[in-house]
Amino acid sequence: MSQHPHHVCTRTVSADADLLYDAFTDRRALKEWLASEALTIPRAGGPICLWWKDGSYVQGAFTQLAPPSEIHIRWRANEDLEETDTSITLTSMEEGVQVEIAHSSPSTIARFSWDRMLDNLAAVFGQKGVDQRMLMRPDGSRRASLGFFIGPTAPAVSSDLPTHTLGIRVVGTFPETPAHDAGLRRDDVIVEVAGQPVFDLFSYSHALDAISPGKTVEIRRVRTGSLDRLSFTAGEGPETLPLPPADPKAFAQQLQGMYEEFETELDALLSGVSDEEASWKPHADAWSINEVLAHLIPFERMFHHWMGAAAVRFEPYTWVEHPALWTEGLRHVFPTLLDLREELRRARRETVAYLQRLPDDLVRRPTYQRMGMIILLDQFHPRHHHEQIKRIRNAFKTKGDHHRA
Amino acid sequence: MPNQSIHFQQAVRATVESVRGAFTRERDLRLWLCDGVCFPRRIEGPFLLWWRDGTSVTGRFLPTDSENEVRLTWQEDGACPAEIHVSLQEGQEGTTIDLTIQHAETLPEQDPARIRAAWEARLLNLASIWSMTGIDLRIAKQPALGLLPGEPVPLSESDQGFGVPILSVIEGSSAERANLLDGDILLEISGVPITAHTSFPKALTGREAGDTLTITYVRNRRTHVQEMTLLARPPLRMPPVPPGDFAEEIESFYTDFESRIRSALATLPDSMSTTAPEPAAWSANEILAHLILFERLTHEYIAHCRLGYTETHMPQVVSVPGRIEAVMRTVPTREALLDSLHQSLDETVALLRALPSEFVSHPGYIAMGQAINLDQFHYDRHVEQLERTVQQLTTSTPLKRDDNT
Repeated sequence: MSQHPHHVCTRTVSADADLLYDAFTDRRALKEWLASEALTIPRAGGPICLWWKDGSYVQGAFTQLAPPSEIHIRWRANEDLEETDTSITLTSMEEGVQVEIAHSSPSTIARFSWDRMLDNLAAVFGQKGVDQRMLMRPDGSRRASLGFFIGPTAPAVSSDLPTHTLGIRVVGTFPETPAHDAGLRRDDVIVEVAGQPVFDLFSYSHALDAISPGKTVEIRRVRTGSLDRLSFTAGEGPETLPLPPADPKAFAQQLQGMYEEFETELDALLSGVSDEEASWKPHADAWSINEVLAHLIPFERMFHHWMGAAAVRFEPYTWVEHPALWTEGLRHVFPTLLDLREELRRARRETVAYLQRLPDDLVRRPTYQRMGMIILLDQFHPRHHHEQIKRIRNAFKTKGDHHRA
Repeated sequence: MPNQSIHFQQAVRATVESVRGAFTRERDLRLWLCDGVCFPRRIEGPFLLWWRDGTSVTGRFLPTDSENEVRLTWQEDGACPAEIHVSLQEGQEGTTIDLTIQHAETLPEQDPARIRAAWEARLLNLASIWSMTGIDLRIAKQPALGLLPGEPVPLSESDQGFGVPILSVIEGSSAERANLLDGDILLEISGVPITAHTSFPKALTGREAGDTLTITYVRNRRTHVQEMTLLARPPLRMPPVPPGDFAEEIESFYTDFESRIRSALATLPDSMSTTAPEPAAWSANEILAHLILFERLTHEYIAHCRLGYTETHMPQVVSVPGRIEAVMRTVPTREALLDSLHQSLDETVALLRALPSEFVSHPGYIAMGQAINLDQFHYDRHVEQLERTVQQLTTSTPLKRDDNT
């Protein structure tokens, strides 16, 4: 070959060679450190397609694969006309595996910030740490945080917007944050953040990348058919995120403690709730207490299924964002508050029991860290619904007062 | 280059909006065109389609001015890049599709005929499926062996490595006509070694109904060779519309299934519920736990189908080590497992009954119903497994398989 390699980039990562080989070839592993979405069929001639949340992408094919030490790809970035040959060489050394990336021409792909990308590879696969993309913007500075929780994609219905406009639903706001003080509330649908359209996790995350903490950010939101703008100061994102203990048995124990706290809180919240109160809705579109519980059960089942799928390397692309789709079935099978309470307790015990038996091959992959992190971050979720139960109970009490008056 | 542009027209009995989905939605593309599809959920982005035979297509969606148009680039493995323009017109009986493929270069001489045949077949299949016939022409034309394969087993007394046992021979199929029996171990089909599930598509490549195959198998430690005439794949059983009728059908199958399970267990002392008949086999309670997990997968599958994803119906994820144990830890007795299984089955029925009409009028409902109907083989198999297990545990001598020859 007469090609002169361009922009050779090397890094030593202390991780198993087979995991690093996967990091460049497996569609799930590629998402852990490099791309927002990855699609591959890892065989010679098989396609590879990486996509980033800013809309850029690369497409091409594996030209030659020699696991676990050599990967050759011929691909093209969306901005380029010419293809680039990229060779990735993995060499086992005493202190770890040396990763070398070389490109055949000075293309867009060769000009990617491979240094920063390999830093993230080392952080995720080597140090078993947090995916740096969750903490930092593309320029390396801290990400912003807007002080609310985003939920699923939702239709944004307003006469001021084209039909079929999608946005993201706000599922909760932190009290005493600028967003909350500016008037943002649960069930508002956000269609734009800092001039960028937002309609799913990726578009929201991309919009967030453009925001500097401490600066004013403008959002457009729809509430009951009307579109308006809100401005507030963006907060600073977290410095780090919680990771699960390396031993899944220790993690199981930690989670069990967390669940026990939730159960105690729930018991206190639900004391004295009659069957009538449990199935009472504050208004037609709102949930009853029973429906809130029927929502928490599939949440656990999603964890079971997700961890089970990841264990056989079949982690699905997409998660059902609407656990509400299960509620109809669960409400039928577990009709009373007592039944639902019992099943929720059991489902949580099952989560803990499965964590204790998590297969070793899953635990050694970055998937385990990411899942553990998400489970730990999701602590807010039951608490969010505990607050909801409090509100329902207050509304029920007020209703009763009205009756008596 | 007017001669490099190929035009097709196809009428489909469905709305423009629904047919547009056939070209742009993940689930819908799988229903008529390919075996797998991946794209980040954004229009104007890249996509990857792939087929089980290993071929793939990459491309990207291009912006269009109208909701009735779809434009995309289309790059087959090693073929000339093309651009596809789809225009949808509302007609008297539904939608007319005008599809034009424009090639970037002059095509080799035989290519236009190949491309024409391929797209005519694809569009005809779209028309069949979107007319809610439940007939996927890609499958309808395929011959089928008519057997359910088990896990590959090592062949201790030969040096050939692995064979694949028959778990179940389907009534009226090619396999039954050829007198193959449950438990026969397949070694070779017309020269293709059968060592894994992936061997079957290879053995059937290029075969049609009416062709004769030579089957080599082991029965009672003796190798047999047998001719088999291939029959066409029987049509998949359709779910009735409305879904309430489907729910009732499934409910009556489940009622029967549960009574077969209970009668299979009648003679097994409770104390032996957790005893495995052989070291690698499941105990009765493990079979029940597996069935509960499988049913929960069905709940998730129904939720996914409603939302438009199909990727996650992956039965292997419920047999992951640890998951069955986690269920047994939280549902500790046989009676509790039977109750829990009953609830899980009941939940499926409730979910089917609650399917919304906009989903039921989409071909995804038919495909989902066919898949759920097909799962009945799975339940039958486990009833047989349970019967075998009980028989093995309650008779003093090890079970011998009948010799019908």
